[in-house]
Amino acid sequence: MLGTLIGIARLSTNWLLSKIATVYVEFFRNIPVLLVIVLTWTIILNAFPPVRISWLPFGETFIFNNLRFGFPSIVGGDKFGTFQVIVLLALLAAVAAWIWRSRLFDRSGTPHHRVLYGLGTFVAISVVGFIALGGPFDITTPEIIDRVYVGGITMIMPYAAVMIGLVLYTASHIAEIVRGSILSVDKGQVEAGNALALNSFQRYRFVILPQAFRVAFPPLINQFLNFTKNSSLAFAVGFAEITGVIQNLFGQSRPAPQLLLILMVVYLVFSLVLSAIGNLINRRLQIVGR
Amino acid sequence: MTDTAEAKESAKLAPLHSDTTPAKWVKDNLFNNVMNSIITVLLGVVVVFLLVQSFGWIANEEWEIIRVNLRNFMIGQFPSDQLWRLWTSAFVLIATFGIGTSARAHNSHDDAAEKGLVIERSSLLDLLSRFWPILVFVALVVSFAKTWPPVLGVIAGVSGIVVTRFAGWALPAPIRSRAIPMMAIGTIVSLAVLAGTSGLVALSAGIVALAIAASELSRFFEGSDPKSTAIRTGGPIVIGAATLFIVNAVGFEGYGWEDWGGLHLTLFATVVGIASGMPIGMLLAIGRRSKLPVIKGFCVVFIEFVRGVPLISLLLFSSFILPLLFPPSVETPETLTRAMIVIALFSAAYIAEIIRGGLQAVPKGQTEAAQASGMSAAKIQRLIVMPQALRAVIPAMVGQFISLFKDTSLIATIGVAEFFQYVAISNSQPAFLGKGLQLVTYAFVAVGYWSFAYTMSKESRRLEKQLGVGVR
Repeated sequence: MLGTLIGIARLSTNWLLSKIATVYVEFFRNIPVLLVIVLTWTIILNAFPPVRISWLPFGETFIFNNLRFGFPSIVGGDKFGTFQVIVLLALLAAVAAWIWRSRLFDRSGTPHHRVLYGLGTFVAISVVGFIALGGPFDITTPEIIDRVYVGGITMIMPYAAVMIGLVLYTASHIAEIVRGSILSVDKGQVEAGNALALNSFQRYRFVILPQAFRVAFPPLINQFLNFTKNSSLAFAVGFAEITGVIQNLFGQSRPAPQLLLILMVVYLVFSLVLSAIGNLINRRLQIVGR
Repeated sequence: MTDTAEAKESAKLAPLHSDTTPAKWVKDNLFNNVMNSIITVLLGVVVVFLLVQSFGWIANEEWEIIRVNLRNFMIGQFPSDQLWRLWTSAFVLIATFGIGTSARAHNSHDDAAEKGLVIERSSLLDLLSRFWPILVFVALVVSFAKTWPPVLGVIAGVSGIVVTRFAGWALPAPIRSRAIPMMAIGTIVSLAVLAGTSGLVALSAGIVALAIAASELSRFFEGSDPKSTAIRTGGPIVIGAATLFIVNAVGFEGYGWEDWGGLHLTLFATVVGIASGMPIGMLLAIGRRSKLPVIKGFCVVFIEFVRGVPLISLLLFSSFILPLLFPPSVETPETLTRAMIVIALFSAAYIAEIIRGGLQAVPKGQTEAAQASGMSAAKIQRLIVMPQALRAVIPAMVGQFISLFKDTSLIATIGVAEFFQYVAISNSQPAFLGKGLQLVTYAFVAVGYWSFAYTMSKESRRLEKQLGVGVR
């Protein structure tokens, strides 16, 4: 998503915006991903305070320090299971409303407003369920009591660093793909959109992006695969994902060849499954008869 | 190339000064509607804030760590009294490549003139605009230098580039046409000065001598009587083998890459990775299109396997399993050599896929036409299909080169002291331990990687435009 936004930003008519996007892309595309990850990690380590003087914004509902991030979360009461079922039903009803409005639009041409109807159905049913069950969940905020994190959900810092680093890095690559695919859309299409008096958001939403996405899809799949493989670098900042775990086991004089084989097979299966799914979707996206 | 002539013509017709004033430019590009005005103001605040912050950071940080470790970052633990080897090899490379590239530029200039076209001769200013990131990095490095020799060396190198460019342009035509052999010999000489004459250097010298002798002899004996054919085929092999033995026998000790480190090693590992990955990749690509199921199966499995696993797991393979695969009679190679074997195979798999894309882009009619004119399968591949396929994939190949350059940072994780590894090493020195200077060193290393990778990606874009790939 970030990648798409930046890709569009690079093509913006605003000189400052497009230059900033270009600088961002060219910076992250041209340094090693390992460096991006450890750089993010170091910056977070330096920028956030240590545990004793944690930063507690928004009335202590969040905890930020250089070891862990804590966020508020919900905790279920007695009737939480029932509520989950109701939310699921609300979702189904919303989808039904969406389909109904779309069909109506196809048949009679009345404006569909399917986003409005779908969201409305979902919110309405959920709120009714919430009130009927008498507040089935509470919101808990994270707290540190005797160096133990209580309540909320917490995220260890290396994980956050790896995620932020990888997202920044991958976004720069995706931005380039998106930019290339948008440029590949025939200029006549944009001009036709203009002639139909679509505004710039509508032009992107209904004319350019659907066609661009078809071009962008195969390289995007490639990026997802790269993302999976790059996540193996998380061990560099001490996050115990599979590569890190297996490297630890090497240190405990476990047989290296077998462990390494497991590691490789895991990634291989991931890659093959992802690329198989990608190919399947790609085949459906392509224009038939080309 | 006719396009460039036309472009030149239209450039002449265009007005010398466009009539936009700064105020008009600002209005057009920053404040052309309400939305853009809001974006500009918001982003402007953010940019100014970030710039002030980072200037403050740069001014306040201690850069002593880089000043002290500058040599480590650049060349690692190369022995001090042997530094002349590094300088000599660098100057030999600069001289031969400076002369070679400008000689080739002059050749293509003449070729074009013969066909009635005009190619603009690239000026020094063009070079500056093409390679400014690297120059910025070099200037940064020089500014961190504590003693004079490196500064003088860099100045000599840069002026050497300028001088050799003019020298190469001024060479007479017969010498100019041998620019590529000259560059190959220069590379071998610079390697020999640095790494000594044994082993790989001797082998590559032999191969280069063989190739040069083959091309020179076939140029000399144009006729096809039996005697000249015998000289043309037999001569190069004799010369190549003789070179191998002579170079091996000279016995000039040097420092192999186990003793190298820093940015020097990173750059070298990249070049070796691509250069050795290219022939293997080409074979794999052809093998994948083979009709024999065994060859095809092997190639497909190899390519998909290597592409499917992360490089880090392959490097772990090189440090834990590869030693087990060598027979006990052979001495196990060093960590870096094993890592390089894996990197070569890794880049071969990616290059194979790139070349396969290029092979698919060659129309089938080309092969069929070649078959119809009675060429053998090997000749069809070598003369008809491969040249077209390789031309189509040059930009993708540069992309692979860049990503390999970035990926070599991973050999730090198995304990090779290359550019990236010196961040950890310098920060664990007693003088800097626990001072929190990681960010400083990371910033320096990031600028180093960025300058090279960005220059290469700019070059690839230029090549793409020049070759007109995708604009058929």
